[in-house]
Amino acid sequence: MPAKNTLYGKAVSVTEEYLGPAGERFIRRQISTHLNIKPESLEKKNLPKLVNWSSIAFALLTNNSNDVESFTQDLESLAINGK
Amino acid sequence: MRNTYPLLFIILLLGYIIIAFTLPTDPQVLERYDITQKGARFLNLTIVLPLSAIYLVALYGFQRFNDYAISVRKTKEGPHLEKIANGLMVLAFSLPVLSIVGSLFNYLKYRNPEFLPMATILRNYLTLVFAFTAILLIAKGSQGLFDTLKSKKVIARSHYALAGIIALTSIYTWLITSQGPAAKTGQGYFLPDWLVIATLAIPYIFIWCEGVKASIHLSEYKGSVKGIIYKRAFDNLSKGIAAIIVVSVFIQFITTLSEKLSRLNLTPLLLVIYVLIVLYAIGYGLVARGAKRLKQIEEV
Repeated sequence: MPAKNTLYGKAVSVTEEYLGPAGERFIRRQISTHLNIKPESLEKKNLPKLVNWSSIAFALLTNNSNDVESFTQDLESLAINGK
Repeated sequence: MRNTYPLLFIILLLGYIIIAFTLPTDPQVLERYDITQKGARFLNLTIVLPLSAIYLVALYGFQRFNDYAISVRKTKEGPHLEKIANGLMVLAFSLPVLSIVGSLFNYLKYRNPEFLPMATILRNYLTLVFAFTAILLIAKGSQGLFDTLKSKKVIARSHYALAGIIALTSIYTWLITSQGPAAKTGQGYFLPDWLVIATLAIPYIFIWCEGVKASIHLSEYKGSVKGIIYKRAFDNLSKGIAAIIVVSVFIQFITTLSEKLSRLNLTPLLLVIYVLIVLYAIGYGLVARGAKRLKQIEEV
């Protein structure tokens, strides 16, 4: 269970709103596969790339463009205000 | 192991098809329904082929669910999903196994009537063992899955539920005991009423209640779990499992009351069978669809 006050913890919380129990596994896969870093060491500078890859992967799970857009915005907001 | 299940299943299914087409139909049955041996084989074709297709859908549904359960086995939900997968496996395999047993039983019934009591007793307990194991595994898995939730929305249980259980218990017991002594009619359980009540009726009613509880737990899990995409995928799964439980309970209900059913004309009997076939297909189809979507979440 990631600490909620870390950026990784916040990214997990956002993803869980969409993917439930599979949320942490999803975001962990995106970080380790596409960013090649440890999920716990996620920083703000990594977010744009993470948002891009996560949105692409997320779009494969639903045909609803509103869901994809909303998920992308929620992740992006982490970079702006740390949500 | 993954390839062993389909292989074993196909062997059992082929065994069932061969037995269903090679064993002759009881002449008394032919006389009752006024059909020839050839006509009976044709009728068999209209039942065995769609049944086999449904059995394959059941195998596909179980395989999909099992794949998903294996892919998340190290998570906190994993062990509970594996229990549900095992329950679905027992239910899926019970289909061809009990069909083979049923075909052999019908053959034995008129070829060697002296074995009828022993065959009837064995068949009844074998059916119970399959149902008991399957539904208990699904119920345990569903309970475990529900317990993984931090915050739970519990559906308020109505007092009507208790009344429903009492009514079901009473009606079922009455139907069982009103079948009359098997030794006279050649139908029934070939056991004293008290033994039938203690070792068949009570276990069946217990597992039916467990089945209903499992459906409620899955529905409550879906209602309480986070994730809009996850919820949508799990919705198919919970509805599919609930449909499978309801259909298998219905099948157990009518098979334990086989004598009452055999008094029906052929048309309503076939209608009952076809309705069950369609419902089973829908249930396993929903499970396959839900499991496929859930597994996709774990793969991207």
